[in-house]
Amino acid sequence: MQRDTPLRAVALERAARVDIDPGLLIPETPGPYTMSEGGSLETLCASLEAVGLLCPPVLRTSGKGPVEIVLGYRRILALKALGARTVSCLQVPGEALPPVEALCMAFYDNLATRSFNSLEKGMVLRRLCAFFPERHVIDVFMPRLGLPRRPETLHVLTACDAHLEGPARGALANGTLSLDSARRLLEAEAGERDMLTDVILSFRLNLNQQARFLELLKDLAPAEGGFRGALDAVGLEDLRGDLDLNLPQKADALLQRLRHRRYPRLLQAEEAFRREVVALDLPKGVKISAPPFFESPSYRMEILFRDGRELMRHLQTLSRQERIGALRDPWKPGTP
Amino acid sequence: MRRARIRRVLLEPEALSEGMTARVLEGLGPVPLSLSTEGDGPEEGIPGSPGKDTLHLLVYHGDFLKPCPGTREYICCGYQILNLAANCPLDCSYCILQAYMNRPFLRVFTNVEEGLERALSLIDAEPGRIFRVGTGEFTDSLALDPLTRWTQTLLPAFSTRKNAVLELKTKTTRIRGLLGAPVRERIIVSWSLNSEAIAGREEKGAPGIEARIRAAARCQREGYVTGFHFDPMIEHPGWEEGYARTVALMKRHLDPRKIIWISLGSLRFMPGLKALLRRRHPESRILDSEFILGMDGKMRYFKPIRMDLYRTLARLLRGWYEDLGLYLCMESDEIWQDGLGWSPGDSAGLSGYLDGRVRLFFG
Repeated sequence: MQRDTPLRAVALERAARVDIDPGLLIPETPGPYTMSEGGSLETLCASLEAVGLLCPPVLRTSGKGPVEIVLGYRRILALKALGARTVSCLQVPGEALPPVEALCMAFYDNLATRSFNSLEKGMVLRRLCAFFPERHVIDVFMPRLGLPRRPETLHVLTACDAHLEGPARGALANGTLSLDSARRLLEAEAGERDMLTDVILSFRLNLNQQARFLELLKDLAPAEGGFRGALDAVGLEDLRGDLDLNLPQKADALLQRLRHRRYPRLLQAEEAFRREVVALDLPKGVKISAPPFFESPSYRMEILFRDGRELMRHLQTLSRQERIGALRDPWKPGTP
Repeated sequence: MRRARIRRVLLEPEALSEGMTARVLEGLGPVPLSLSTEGDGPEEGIPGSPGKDTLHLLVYHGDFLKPCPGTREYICCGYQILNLAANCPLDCSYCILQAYMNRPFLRVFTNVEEGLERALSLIDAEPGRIFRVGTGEFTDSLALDPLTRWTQTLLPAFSTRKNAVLELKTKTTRIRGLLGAPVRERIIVSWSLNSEAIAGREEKGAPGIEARIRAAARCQREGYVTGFHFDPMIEHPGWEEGYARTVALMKRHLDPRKIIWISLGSLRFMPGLKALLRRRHPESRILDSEFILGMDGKMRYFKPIRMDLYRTLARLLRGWYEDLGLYLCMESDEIWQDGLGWSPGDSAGLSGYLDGRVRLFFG
């Protein structure tokens, strides 16, 4: 059997049990083996309160540097949140646990006990890329994370960990921002990214709406002087303050305004056609629709009927509708 | 025109003994050369970075003559593509090759003589059919001619066929090989035209419109039949004036009686090209207009925009000369009727119309 890394359980044989203040262990930025970001500690806190710490976190000393957390970052965070004064840990000397083995230990320990969110996957992969060739990461580690063996996916996920900050980072971690949206946000400048994330989160755009929102904005931005210009052009702030609309209605309205801005002639045609059809006063069960984007030359009429008599009635009503004869492509002269 | 800067050559071992290889290497002068294998391309290539400064000389094992794939949903012209190379030293923002080509580099097939022989045997096997053959679908027909001297090989071969014409499509002014050729018969030299604004901003590396038209005029004076392709027409601020100025230049320099056809087509692209285009050409504005998903799965302008483009250009061109052989590329019967005032009905009808133009010009 091939292994990703030599199996060295011996590392823990040289571990010493230490009691450490959890406040001293939590660095300002996650340590080199941390694979957790986002997610609630609530369940973990409840477990610790109920049965205490069952598995001691594993620490690694690294010369004169700070002690590094290899396993148990979230446990330490939770204990700190619960006000614990000390945490009982296993501390391994650095020479007994080289960084690559510490990283693999952290990876497999996490993998066996929980699932990773997208941001965490990016974090894990970025760290693995520091020790393993990219091809190895793609072929061996990505499938273990449930990811396709695609370089593009690796690059997007690692870029998310490397460059996403603030609310976008949190939103990707908690799943309110899709990975596709995060990828699109990364194509924007850092300042614009925050502004776009704010709109996505404050209008609570769902994943499908996020994709449409970002695609429309990207199309509009070059002609509107950037994303901000495009959002100003559709009256974003007015919409935000509109007291007559609830949040889902505002989200719909925002997308509709952007679509109008992006496809003015198409939407004008759609509306003109819709008005024309409404004015026909079609019998119930009769529907006239335009082809997608008016591209095919043929329109469609559907007639629902229960029996031949009803069909005859519909056809007679329709034959008396002189206005039907005036139906035409909505951009042609004479269309109301 | 900027010369394509070839900074290195990749040579497939199989291509070493080909005459084309010797010609190209002699023409290039001292350029770093390395042997390649068929597998080199995809691994080295980065999607969207087509490596236009690397010339890859290789033997092509596929069919040299293939029908243009066209599309079933729109009316197509029944063109035949003679596949001599892939990719192009010009760098047009809208170029579909960016999305189609899964291999990087300027790829020139060195076994052109052998491929041509096979293509001609197919043509000769159907004497009752007219083959309209072009080399400008997957590359520019003349951009590499100073190196490859395709004109020397191709022109004599086609000039003797009574059931074929060869169309060389270009945006360049590299006509020296043409002018030096001893034959003119059954050869059409065509230029892709646009408004000067689009040529300047979106067709990097290509000469300006007037230079193209002057080159076409020179070819006309030297006895060549010419064609023109307003494809892709692009809606942009001032497009009516822009296209009118191009037509005015045509009027000034060209003899309309020596134009076999002028095609009109509007910008269309596979959806995947959009991201590539944004990445490779961030300054491009061609995506600003209203695109919809066409019936063939390509993005194209909303129908009334296309109609407007075609009507306007057709009016301008017919105001110059009535019988220019105008036709639309990949459009529906409805758009033909609206844009040109008639329709061939279907692809067979369009083929028949263009074959008729061939007979009119070449007998």
